[in-house]
Amino acid sequence: MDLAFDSRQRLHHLRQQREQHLAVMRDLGREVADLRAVVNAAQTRLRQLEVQPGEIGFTGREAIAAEADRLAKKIEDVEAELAELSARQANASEAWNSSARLLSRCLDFARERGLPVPSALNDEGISIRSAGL
Amino acid sequence: MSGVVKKIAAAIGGAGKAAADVRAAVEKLRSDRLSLLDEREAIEGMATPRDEAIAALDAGLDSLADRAVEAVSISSLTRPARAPTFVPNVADGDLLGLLIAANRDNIRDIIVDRLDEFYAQHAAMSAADKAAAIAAIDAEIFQLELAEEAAVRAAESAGLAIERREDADPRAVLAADAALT
Repeated sequence: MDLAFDSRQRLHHLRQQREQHLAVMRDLGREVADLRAVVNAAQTRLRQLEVQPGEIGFTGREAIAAEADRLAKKIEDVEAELAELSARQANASEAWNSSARLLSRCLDFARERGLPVPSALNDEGISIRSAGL
Repeated sequence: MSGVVKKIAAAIGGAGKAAADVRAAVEKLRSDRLSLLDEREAIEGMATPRDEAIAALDAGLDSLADRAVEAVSISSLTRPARAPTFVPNVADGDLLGLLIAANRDNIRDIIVDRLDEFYAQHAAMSAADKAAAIAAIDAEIFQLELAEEAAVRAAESAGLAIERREDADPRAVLAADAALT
């Protein structure tokens, strides 16, 4: 069956999709890092509260207990958010890997058949198979 | 709810249903493809037809027997210088061939019985039929690949992202739009 190809446009599209997945992964990575920093700061403050509450401006048993509860709740909430983000991160990573593998296979296919390839992909992953090694 | 809000809500509801329908249609194509791949694997795994197996058995029995008979040394029986003694110099492998030569039909029956037991439980197909069946399945799979790619592109045009399979056929993924219609 003779099939007309539009390799340049289609490969360009696949590359865009891969880059979109990469951008999502990076955004999620930044969000995760920010939230981990929030958890770490809250944990540090909690330890200070236990050891030297006066140094961070807390005196009186009730005020210390209330702040400790607030921090513990905050850590719990952020950890829950992190768990949800981690799942999204795993999905995004899988989507990125999958789109990268498809692009690589299609790029190999185009090169093997001498089809036009977008210049942005010229230097990308010339696999051992497509290089005939 | 004002009329405009109702219309928007209805449109969103309609779009949601349309998106679900498109996803379901793509899933159906993918599921059909998997069924065909299973079918292909089953055909590939089908045994050689019984008559071909028996022809190979006959050829093998004849070859073993002929080689063994030829291999038996008779020179110790016929040499002129000394009294004849039987020193056949038969290698271990040729002993089986001599047994076959002496009792070919019974040995063949034993193996044919085994084959019949096997074919009572396993489907068989000739190499030519297998190749034709696999070619037909591959053609069907390719049509599904084209249909799936067309559906994914139509969804993308409508703003609905559907991830392509990483093992999608590059011929479909790189096909021009016009080739998919």
